[in-house]
Amino acid sequence: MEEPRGKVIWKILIVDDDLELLSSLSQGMEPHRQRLSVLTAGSVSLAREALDKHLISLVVTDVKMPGKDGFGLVSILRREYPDIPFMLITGFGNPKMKGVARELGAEGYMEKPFSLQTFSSAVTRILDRLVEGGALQGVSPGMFLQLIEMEQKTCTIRLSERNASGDGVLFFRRGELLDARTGGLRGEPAAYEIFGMEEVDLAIENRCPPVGRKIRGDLQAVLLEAMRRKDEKRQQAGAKVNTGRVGAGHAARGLRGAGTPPAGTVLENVRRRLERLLGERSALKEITQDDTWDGLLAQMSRMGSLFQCGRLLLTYMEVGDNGGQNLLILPGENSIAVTLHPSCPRDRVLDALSRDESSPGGESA
Amino acid sequence: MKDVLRDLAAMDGVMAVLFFSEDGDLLFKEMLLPPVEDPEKKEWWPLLIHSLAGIREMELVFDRGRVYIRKTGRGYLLIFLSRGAPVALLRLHCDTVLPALDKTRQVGRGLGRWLRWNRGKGRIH
Repeated sequence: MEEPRGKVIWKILIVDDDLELLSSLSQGMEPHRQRLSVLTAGSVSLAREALDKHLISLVVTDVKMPGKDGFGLVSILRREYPDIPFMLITGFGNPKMKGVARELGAEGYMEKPFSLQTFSSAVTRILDRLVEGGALQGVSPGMFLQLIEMEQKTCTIRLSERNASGDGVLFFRRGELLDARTGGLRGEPAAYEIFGMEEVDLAIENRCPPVGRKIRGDLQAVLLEAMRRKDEKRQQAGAKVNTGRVGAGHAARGLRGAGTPPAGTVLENVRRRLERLLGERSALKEITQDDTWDGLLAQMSRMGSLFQCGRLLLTYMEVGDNGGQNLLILPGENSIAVTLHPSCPRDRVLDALSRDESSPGGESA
Repeated sequence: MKDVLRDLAAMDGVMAVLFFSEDGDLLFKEMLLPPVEDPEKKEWWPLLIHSLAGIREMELVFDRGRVYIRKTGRGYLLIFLSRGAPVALLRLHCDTVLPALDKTRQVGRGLGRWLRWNRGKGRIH
């Protein structure tokens, strides 16, 4: 069997009431365990449990089973997991059954008995389609997914975390993130989990199944919220980050959020947010706590009152001639100055961070 | 100069355009929305304009609005915008039209010199 491309570990769920067949198929796929993981279920209800728990890449189901049959499972798949391809196997095959399978959208149809080689070839062919748009290894989900948005791609992306057990799937239509799924989560909560993954291997399928729009916020907003949640988790876990550039006692508001997190953590949070927002393109040069701008910002804040603009959230400035220095200032009790490369997509940074800053209660560090 | 600035004021999302000399004197004012307070009555403009020394461009994002500041050869341009205004387009427009503002100044200087020279020659009274 030729290995499916990409580093994502595919999980295949085989459903049949014939436990011997399950066992032999499972053992037969053992040589491919580095790329494939086989799960088995003796009934549709057990299959349902597996679908809820795992990110299944392919379902192979027998048609005739006691209780709910294979068609019942297909109906669940079509309704709740439209991205999961399925293959029907049957011991009572006939041309009509084959036609029905095709009409239901089955990616494969096999009549028992079949050889292991035929089976694994069919599996590979289906799994290869899931990676037809390409595969990437060891990337940051945030960075990559913004490219999908920019290119307005329609695709399904399956991701698995490199150094952890997390995996998930994202659905994009014309660059818009419609839905996500990971573990038992769907929609935005699932997207937050996925975007919070550190380093992933991913596979791109060049089509998006007919999923409804479960994610309302745009990608930037979801990414920022994911980062915020991740930071929150880290803090709760007592993670300590020290940039070593500033003293303690930073109590600025906004991105720094409620309470008074250590200054190093605050700066690190800002850095991480920018890097994840833009990936390597953020061209972040330096982040420092810098109160030399406080006087200027106080002057500038006055202007907003002329038109009841509210509080000053962010300031971007170009200092010096010929693209001298590009600074982003996050005002607060002690302002934070971020030096950015001139090529940094300024509007994107300002929009994302100001949206973050103006959200009720601001971001928590 | 006024035509250039009025063109900027006509852009989407612009609430007001103010133009100050480098000394902080208000040279131009176009209000598309009535301000809460009259900017001319504010005494802090000179101080604010002086504090912009060395800054070529600045963008301030407030809760409910933005201010775009741009240094020109003749002073500082301040544009008050709604929060969702197309600021990238505005910057692009500034890049296009503001050099004309500087050129106007150069022409003005030349014209001034020409007028002075001709006055000196007694050709203009």
